[in-house]
Amino acid sequence: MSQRDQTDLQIIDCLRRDPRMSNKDIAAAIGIAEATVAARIRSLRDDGVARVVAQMDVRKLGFDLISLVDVHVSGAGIREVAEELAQLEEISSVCLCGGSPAIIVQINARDRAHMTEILYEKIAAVPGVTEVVCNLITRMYKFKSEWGTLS
Amino acid sequence: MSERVEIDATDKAILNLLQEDGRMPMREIARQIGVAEGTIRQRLRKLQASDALRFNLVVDPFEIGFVASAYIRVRCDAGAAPRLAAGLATLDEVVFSGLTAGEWNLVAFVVVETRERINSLVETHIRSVPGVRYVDIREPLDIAAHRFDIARFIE
Repeated sequence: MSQRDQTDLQIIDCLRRDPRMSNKDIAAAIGIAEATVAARIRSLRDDGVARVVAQMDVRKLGFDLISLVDVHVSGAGIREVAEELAQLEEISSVCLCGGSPAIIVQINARDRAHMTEILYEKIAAVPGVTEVVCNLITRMYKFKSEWGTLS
Repeated sequence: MSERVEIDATDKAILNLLQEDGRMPMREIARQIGVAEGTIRQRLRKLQASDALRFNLVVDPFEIGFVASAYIRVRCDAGAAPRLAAGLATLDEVVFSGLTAGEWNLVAFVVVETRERINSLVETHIRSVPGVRYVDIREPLDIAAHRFDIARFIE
């Protein structure tokens, strides 16, 4: 873990409230030079600590169904399987859990036919995948997208 | 059901750049894709107005003091599930909470500052709730992919 100082945390705080806040306004808000703000934001980004991104709502893109799927693996390396799964465009998160299930993925599907295709054709086709166990999200209470593994 | 938005090649080109660097200046985007700055502003305004697009600061929790994360999956009396899922959603450490159809009744994902906290959170907010039958905790050992360019927007 890298140790971030008070200035970094103040910048993070500004960007949380307004991700497109100008360097000039951030500098004024926390009382440091504009060039320092620019350098800090670059370093937060390059060090994989924090970065501003544009996010699209999956539903507005036509993906109405989200499932968390346990993927069981046999006869292949878990990491290799995970890397393959990460290539599928419908998969937005891949967690290696090591045991059974070896991997938990989040998949986004347009409809039931698409969900079926992802589960039983796309994921099933990855060498080493044995069982898939699907938990379809029927009601979402929270989906926080401000946390993420950046490196 | 939310209205689907249509995205054309220009929108896509703009979004590709902003998904990489959400603070890229408009004139830089204009320069890179060869479209007028005004067009870019107008496209982004439209996407934001339809709640399809937002800008977000994504922070790696493990870089600022958090040490562990876990999927917590629960099987419980069916009638108890909605309240439990809603209650978990109010906790700061809970990143995701939803009811599910499948092997579990609800799934939550937590990011915590100590590993012990996973235990105390489960004890206090899940195991003590009447109707809870079975709790399964899966701690990711590694994350092979995590996309930020898409998310489910919840008010």
